[in-house]
Amino acid sequence: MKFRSGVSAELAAVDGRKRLNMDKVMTVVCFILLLIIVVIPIVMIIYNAFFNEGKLEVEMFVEQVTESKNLEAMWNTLKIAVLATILGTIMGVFYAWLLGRSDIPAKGLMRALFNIPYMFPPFLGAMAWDMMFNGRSGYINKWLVQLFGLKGMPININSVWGIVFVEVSYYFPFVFMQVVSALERMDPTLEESARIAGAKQRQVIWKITLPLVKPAISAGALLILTTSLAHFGVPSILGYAKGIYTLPTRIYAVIYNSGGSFDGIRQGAALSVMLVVVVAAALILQNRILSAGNYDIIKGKSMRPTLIKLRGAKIPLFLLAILTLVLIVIVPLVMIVLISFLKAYGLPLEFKNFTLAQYEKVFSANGTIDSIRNSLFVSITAGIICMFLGTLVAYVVQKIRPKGKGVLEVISMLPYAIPGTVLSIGVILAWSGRIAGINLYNTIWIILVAYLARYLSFSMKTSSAALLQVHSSLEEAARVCGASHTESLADITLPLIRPAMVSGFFLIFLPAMREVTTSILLYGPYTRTLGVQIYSLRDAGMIPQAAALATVAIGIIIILNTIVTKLTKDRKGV
Amino acid sequence: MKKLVSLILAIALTLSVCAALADAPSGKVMLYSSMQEAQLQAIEKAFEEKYPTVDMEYYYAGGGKLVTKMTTEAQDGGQIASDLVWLGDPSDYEAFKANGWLEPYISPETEHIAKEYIDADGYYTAGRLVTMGIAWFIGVDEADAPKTWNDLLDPKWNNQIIMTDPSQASTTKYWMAAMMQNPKYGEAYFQALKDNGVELESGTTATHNRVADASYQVGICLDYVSANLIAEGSPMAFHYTTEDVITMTSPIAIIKGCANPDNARLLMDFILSKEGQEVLVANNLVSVRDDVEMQVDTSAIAAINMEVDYADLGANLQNYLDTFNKIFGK
Repeated sequence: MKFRSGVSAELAAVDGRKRLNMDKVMTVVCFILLLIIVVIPIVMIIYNAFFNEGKLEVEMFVEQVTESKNLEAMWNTLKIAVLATILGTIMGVFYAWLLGRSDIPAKGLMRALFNIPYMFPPFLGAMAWDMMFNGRSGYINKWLVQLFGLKGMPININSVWGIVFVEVSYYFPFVFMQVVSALERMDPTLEESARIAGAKQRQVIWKITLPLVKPAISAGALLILTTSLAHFGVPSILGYAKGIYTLPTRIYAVIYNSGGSFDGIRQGAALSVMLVVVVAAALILQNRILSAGNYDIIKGKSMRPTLIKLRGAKIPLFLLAILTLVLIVIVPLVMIVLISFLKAYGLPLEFKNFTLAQYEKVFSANGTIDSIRNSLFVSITAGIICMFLGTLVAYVVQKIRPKGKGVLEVISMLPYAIPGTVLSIGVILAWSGRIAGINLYNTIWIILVAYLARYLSFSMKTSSAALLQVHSSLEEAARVCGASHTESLADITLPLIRPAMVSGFFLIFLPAMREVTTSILLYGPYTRTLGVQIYSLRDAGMIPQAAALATVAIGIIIILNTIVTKLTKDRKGV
Repeated sequence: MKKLVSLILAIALTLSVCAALADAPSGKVMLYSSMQEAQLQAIEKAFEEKYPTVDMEYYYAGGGKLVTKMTTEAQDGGQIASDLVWLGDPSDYEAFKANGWLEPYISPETEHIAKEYIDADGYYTAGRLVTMGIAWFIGVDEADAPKTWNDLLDPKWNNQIIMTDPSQASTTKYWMAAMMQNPKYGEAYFQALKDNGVELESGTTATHNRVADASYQVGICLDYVSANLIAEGSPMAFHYTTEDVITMTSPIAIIKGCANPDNARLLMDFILSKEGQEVLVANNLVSVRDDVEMQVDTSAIAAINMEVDYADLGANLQNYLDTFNKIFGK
């Protein structure tokens, strides 16, 4: 470290003031961009929650925070997130172990299939489950009633447990993917020595394997927790009609029911502060329970762990895995496709009621093509800008290390913990004419700004990790050979981290394509995104048409994901 | 000489074509509407066929959501991003007028439209008629289906009735306010509805689909939405009540300071014209004109129409909504 700064200082002396300026410019640009993209919206939320027309006014905030409906929403948000995290973690770890360490058949294929739920927008899953198990009219419910002559509907998906179930089935891959790769990198000799020392299989799992992958479990669980706390789609589709609110759906309702008045947006801001507090509390709690230790015993990919023989349990566990896949991947998909062919919602699923009219309607509505174009445009643009901006921030933090780099890092990671709904409110408050007369409301740019804030941390993380692996001696070698600072950056550092930048792009592009939480509050007449269009069609009661568009969206997502997997051959599909 | 003449002719021809093109309407026109998308598409198609150089666009959302949107846009002196607005019922238009959002315009087509369908100051004109009635799942016998508003209080429909949330849909809001205002029904009626287990759905079409998929046996539904769904094959049926029918005019108005005022007038004229109204009728809507043929006998409905006090409605709409929300615990 000392040596490097010594060299840097000498190099700086070679360049004279120029080198200093270049770094300074990059640092300043970083601070300014983060200020605009991240800090201003957040400050606007806090300001508007507590101030009105320049005066401190806490009454509104207190009133909102103590209102029973909002407290109930907060309780629901917590309950759903905690249950989803616990169940999703158990499920993720179990299947990671089963597919990573046991001799279960068809492992490669199953692993690929278990990643599928991660690709799919959970709110489409919620739509499908609502069609099947709506407490009043679900198709499968009705069928069960007929089959067994039941008195009432057997399953009611429009409940807290229903929401938890759907969230778990789409979020468990967060833990699954992390743990599978940790298990792969684990040093198998540790397990072997335990076994030699006389430990039983169960003891090995509890005492050796699990503690070793604990950091991976912890990271995955954290992702489930924050995602679930901030999630809008599933609780909105399953809970709204039954009066089950979470904070994100409550914020949406408050803003819409208030007739769009500024008071409504302020109430939304107050609830946003509440939601952020809940997220922060959950993060601290999670940190306490699963404080991630550092285990250096996880090494490179060199060793092949011994597989555990399942013996008699092999076939039942294999069937269980298949059943899980069918239940969470195939069944909802088939349901959405079937409904998309239906003439009118409510008709029995019989061939004579099938038609292609819904697809015709979808493609003749100007909203659909617009929404696909809008989503492609914002997702690609956000992906590209974040790719460069995230790399810039990572470079400044990792390599330039200016004073206040900690602040920079925290700011860029902030939106990661701040729910999309909250960011939307901040962006509305900031960019609808209140600052410097800039009014982006109702334009595509306001969605883009929100996406930039929301996804910046994704690309920053991947670029940071890549930059850490580029030793500064490489850049210094180039400098010693006479390259200017810019040249060494362009010829050495950037090419080395390019793969990470590209995967950072896809990490943003794919989720942005199916996003609904942020854009639902920001769309204007010409700027519906694909997610918003499906959501509004369903909300307006045009369920078969929403299903048709959802089928199209799933097609687009599958195509994009295939392209990504092809492009990044050795990396896993994102 | 010949060359010169042909040159002059050519120039004259070019100029006249240019002039004709300049006269022909062109550009865009934007309509905010709470009608169903299929119907908006039909209007768009017919309008663009007649005026191929004008690009008509529409933004479709529930009435409540559109009012929200307009309020947000107009905030701090902003401009509403549409040229026209066409909602389901007249109750919000008095507020629009008072806010200074509307541009007065009396279309020449109003010759064939009854005077009571046109705002006295010319700020808005009815574009169609909408009537609230009762729809039921086909599993229910037509003879058993409720025929009056009071029939809905029959305990046999306990937990089996759905209606739209009045905060979300302006047509239901109007119906609710008209019922609240009438001493025969009033607050007590809605309390009784609530006691009979009536539930709310967030959008008008969604309410209808809840009847079609048998979630609820009966719904407080709109004539044209039901007719549309039935035409598509939805397993539901609809009739008007036999007394106290509540019909709304669905007004169309031009936004003040809009980007395309000429095209806005053009579109309004087209919608109110015989040609435009026939497009509506072909799509199961009810025309406001006296010279358009349709299946619905508007004069028979008008005979059993319930009186609505517009002034009271304008003044107390929010109070009625608050009362409703209190009863339904929202």
